[in-house]
Amino acid sequence: MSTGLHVNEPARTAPRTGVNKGVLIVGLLLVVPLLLLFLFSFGNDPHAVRSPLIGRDAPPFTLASVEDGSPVSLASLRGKPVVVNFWATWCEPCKQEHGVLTGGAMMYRDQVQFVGVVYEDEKPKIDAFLQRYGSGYPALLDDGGKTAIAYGVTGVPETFFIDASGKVVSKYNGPLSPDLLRAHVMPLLEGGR
Amino acid sequence: MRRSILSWLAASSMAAAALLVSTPAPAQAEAAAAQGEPEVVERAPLDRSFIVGVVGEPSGPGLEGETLARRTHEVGLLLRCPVCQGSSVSDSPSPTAINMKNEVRDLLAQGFDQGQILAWFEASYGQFVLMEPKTEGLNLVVWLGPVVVLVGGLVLVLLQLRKLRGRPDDEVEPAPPSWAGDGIAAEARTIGGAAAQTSAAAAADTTTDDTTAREGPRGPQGDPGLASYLNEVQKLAYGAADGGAPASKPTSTKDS
Repeated sequence: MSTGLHVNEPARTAPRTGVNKGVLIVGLLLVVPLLLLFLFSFGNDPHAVRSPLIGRDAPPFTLASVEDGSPVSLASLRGKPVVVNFWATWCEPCKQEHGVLTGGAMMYRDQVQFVGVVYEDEKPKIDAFLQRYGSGYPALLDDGGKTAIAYGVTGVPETFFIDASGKVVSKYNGPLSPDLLRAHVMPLLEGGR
Repeated sequence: MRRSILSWLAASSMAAAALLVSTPAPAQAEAAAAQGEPEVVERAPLDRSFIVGVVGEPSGPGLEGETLARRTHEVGLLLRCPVCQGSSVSDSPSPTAINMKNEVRDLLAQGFDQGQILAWFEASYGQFVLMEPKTEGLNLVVWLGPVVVLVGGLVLVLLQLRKLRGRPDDEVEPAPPSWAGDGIAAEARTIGGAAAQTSAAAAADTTTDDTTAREGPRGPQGDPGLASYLNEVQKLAYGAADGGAPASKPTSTKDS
């Protein structure tokens, strides 16, 4: 004799099991690359792209000194490494960095030439800034921003490290600390030996 | 469950495509630009020999007048203002954008063409400065990615629609009984029907009686044991073995 309560079970439709492989593959092909892209790209600063100038000749410039208006050219500094720092008086991190660079200019005064290029600023403000915070290296006026454009400057502070032969060795976006400055200057000095 | 996962996959693909085609916002704000525009008085001359070393000699005569202004605007539209939120050089009032536009004007006036000017800016800033990334290398992901994701999403949607159309209606689950008495009766009827199917199948498989097979499924009469069991169930449900309506509604309803 059949047990009535179990008789009706075969009449129900069995639930489907498993996954449609085609749909799964299409979904994975769509989603996995995007997830990887997001995984490796989120958190990156879109400005922190490697400068195309690294390894190439530094763009030449001849700019007027803020102090006395005399022209200073990059070519005239050739023969020893040069640190070119783009800064502005309206840039708060630049104030903090100014002391680091002034100290660096003193420390490496016989080995490395420091140059500041003032970015989108006005001479009276620059004079007031230098009077207040001191000046340990030439500050140059970049009227029209052509030098900043040639160096691909996207904001301040930005610093370029140029070896004795005139090639750009490295670039740093943001305010330099003493350790960072040393880390970027040492390769310049080692390359010159 | 699977349908919901697939829907999520399709939706996330579309959202990702939208994210992908959107321009990433630069971290630098335009605050610097708003900090008082410096007065651009005179500009140091271009180091022409250096530019020629990067992009070659000017390709034609220099532009001037209205043509120069129009072309300056057009080329400026192709260059990204590096301190702005996704604006082109022509669209931005920031000092940096103005300086870059002046540079474009100077280069056009000297006879450099659009390709050379874009190459000059790219040599300084990298491809970041181009409003439209080049269609090469990994950039192809940006150009083709949204199309691939869109087509993939459509394929997923079509697959799901096709599956839904091909789904038989009997997969719809029956409504629950409204009261216990009806539930017992329905159970009894289901038992009867299923038993009939079971016995019919058994008969078709085990007996050589062709008549039985031709007549199709038989009722509970074909199985005396089952018929007796059904009678008991019907007595319990209706108070009578003939399946007549109960004299009164049972008190053990869920509604009480």
